[in-house]
Amino acid sequence: MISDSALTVSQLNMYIKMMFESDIRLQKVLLIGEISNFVNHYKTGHCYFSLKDDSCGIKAVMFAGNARKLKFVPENGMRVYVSGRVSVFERDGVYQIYVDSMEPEGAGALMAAFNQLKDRLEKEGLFSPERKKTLPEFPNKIGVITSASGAAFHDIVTVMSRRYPLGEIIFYPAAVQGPECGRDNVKALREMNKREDIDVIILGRGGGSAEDLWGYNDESLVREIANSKIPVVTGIGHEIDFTLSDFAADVRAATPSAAAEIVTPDITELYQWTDSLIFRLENAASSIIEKLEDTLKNSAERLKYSDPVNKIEKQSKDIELMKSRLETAVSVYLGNAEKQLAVADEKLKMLSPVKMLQKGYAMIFRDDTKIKSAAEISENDLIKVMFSDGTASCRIEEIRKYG
Amino acid sequence: MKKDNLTYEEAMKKLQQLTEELEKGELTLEETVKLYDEATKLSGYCTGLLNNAKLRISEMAEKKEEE
Repeated sequence: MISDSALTVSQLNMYIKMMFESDIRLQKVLLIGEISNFVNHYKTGHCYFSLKDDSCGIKAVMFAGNARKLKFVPENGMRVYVSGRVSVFERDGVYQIYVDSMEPEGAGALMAAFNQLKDRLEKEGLFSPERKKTLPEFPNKIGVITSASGAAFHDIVTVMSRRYPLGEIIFYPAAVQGPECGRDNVKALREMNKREDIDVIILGRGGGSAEDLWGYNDESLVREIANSKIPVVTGIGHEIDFTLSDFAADVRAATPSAAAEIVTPDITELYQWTDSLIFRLENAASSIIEKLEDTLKNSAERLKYSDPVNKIEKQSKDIELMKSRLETAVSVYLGNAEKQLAVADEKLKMLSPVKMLQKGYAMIFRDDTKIKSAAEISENDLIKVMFSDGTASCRIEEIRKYG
Repeated sequence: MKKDNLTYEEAMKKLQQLTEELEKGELTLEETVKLYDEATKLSGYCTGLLNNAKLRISEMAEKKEEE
């Protein structure tokens, strides 16, 4: 019976697979070819592609465990060396090469590709300074895109806890190397840009070889960074490492820690700022109080001045003053009067009868009555003539009146 | 004024405004006392925010996409 000798497809495929695997030459193959139909499976991380030359092709698969060790991003058209074993995928009845490792052809190929892409994007203006966005002074939510297991995330958390615990980290885990790196980071950037509450994004990765960091030269990632609405700060590798992501970022920090420092204000400065405002506040308040106190003092002073008791005191002082001025004036006046009196007295003395008598005048009396006129006497009257130093008794002989 | 929901930045900006207002020195005693009182509460609030701040971390849930 035909049916007795018939194989199932599974049996055949299993046999063919056994045949392949029994051939030692197929267990370790080094192959050169050009990559085509490259697919990096999103969920599993496995890479599926074909390798071809001018006339032939072979299916190839690189499982996630090996793909993670890739030091560059495989692309269609890239000529690569792969090493692996050839076997059969029984389900589909296809033979394929199971790739353990893959390297681009030519030592300088990576660098050449890097420079080529860099020149092209630069000409497009993706790296131009005008595109750079300024970072917020006080970010509330800080997007962090990096590996969940790497040191970069830990470093960023440490720096931000110390410097700026006011903030909140929105963490988006992403592969930081291998073929998934570019795609994961692009996706994270897109998701974050859909939100309205993220103020700044850090793209971080710890140090590694140039090949480790190669994912950050992914063209679509570089474009995504340049087009991000939210400012992006890169902290990839170390000081000396430059990736195209760094060129496209709004700020490039040397390391993930440095990136965390750049996006956050330092809490000690915030304390100082608060303190300086409190200081200014106290100053302003106390100068207002002082001013009000001065006004109060002035008012009190003016009030005191208009107090009746003070008025009386002041007036009595005025009176005292006037009195003393008056006294002075009087004493001066009296002094003068005395002098004037002495002069007058002198003058008076000059006019006294004695002096007159001394000058040659004489006084005439009759019976002790002073005779001032010729009409008062008669002939034969007895009169007394008085000189300054004595008297003489005389008899009137003849009277002659004038006029 | 409700200040409980203010961020540090908002509170500090408000505090700065109050300080500048006070520095003009054109206020009455009553206004000064009121402003000073408000400013003191704000500065206490700011310092409190700094003293009690603790870095929050949340993870953005990755939306699984079927390929």
